[in-house]
Amino acid sequence: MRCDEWSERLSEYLTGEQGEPERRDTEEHLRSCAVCQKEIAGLRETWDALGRLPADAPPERMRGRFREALAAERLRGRARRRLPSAWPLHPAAALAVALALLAAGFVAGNALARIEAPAVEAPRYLLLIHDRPEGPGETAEQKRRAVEDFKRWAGSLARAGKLVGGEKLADAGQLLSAGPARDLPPGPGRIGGYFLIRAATPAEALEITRSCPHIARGGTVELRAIDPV
Amino acid sequence: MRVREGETAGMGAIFDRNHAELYGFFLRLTGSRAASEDLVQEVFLRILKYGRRFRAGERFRPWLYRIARNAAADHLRLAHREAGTPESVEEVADREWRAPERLQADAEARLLQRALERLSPSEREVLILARFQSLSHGEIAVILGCSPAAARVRLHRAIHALRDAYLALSGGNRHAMRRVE
Repeated sequence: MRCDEWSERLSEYLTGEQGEPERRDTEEHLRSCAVCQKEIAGLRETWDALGRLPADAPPERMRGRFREALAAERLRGRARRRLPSAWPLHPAAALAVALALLAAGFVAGNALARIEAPAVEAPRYLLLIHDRPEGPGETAEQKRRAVEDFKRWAGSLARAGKLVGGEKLADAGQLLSAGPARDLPPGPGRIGGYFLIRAATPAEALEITRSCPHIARGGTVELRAIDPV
Repeated sequence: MRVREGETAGMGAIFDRNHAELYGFFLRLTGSRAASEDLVQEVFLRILKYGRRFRAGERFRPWLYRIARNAAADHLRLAHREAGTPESVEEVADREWRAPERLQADAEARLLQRALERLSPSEREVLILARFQSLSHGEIAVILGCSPAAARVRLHRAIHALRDAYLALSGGNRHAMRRVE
């Protein structure tokens, strides 16, 4: 084999692609050939220098940025599945209707409403509305005012782009584990509904939660950050 | 492999395992930190979208780098559309390639960067894949969509082109620049 025929094999030798027998052949040739020795020395110098080219570590913010995109993607996928393609109302009108149903639902405990708002890429928080202890019956006027409060609250969140969604849960439910399913026992502390919000900081999430009218009415709201795993 | 499920659940871990390596690939390919950051993001979003196309038994890294290559090509095409100039993707890649600032640490690195600048984008690409991403010739062939023999030849030519440029820049006289061919 002439030296020019060795050329390609030297590249393979250099990049560590040769198997054991070929590698031995190449080394044997190199020992006896000054031309190929010079050739491999130049190639190796370049290849080694290339390997020493320093690498930049990726900026730490990339991780958070990707998880945010992931959360948004997850949310978008869910919204796509939920919303019929021909949503009968203008989005703003649909939102208003949904909010009205939702607010009514929380008070009267009847309608089930669902809303979807555009996703904004900020951390999400789940507000779990714990049912209040059974108090003395509310007057019609108190119920009407509570509906207004919820409407105003959810509406201002939606306008600020902070509301992702919210739903009232039906009263009946089951508790499931390995044994037979049990009916959800009645009583305070059960989850009556939820709001999914976006907040730039935990402090903002707290502030939004504190402003929930359920708290002013003596109820409890559980605030949980969505873990962007 | 969770990637096949195309679900968001396992994506965090897949990102953690691969994003630094991929960032290095793009940085060396494009020379731009901002573009590399965007491209890494884009690759993982594509995995999320097309994860179902990943076949069982297929090797993950060649598949990952195929997506990465396509993303880089789309990025360059877009840059060229926005610039509004009738350049080929290769020309844009060539023009856009700037050595990352931080890599200008020492003379050797600087020299090598200048040598890399003299190569064609496809020569740079095959060198980066082989040297930094530690991919075998077979895997590189899968990524480039050619035969292993063609990948071998391409790498061989790129190594020689880089050697010639590097040694010429580093003074030339230290080594006789006699090409064996």
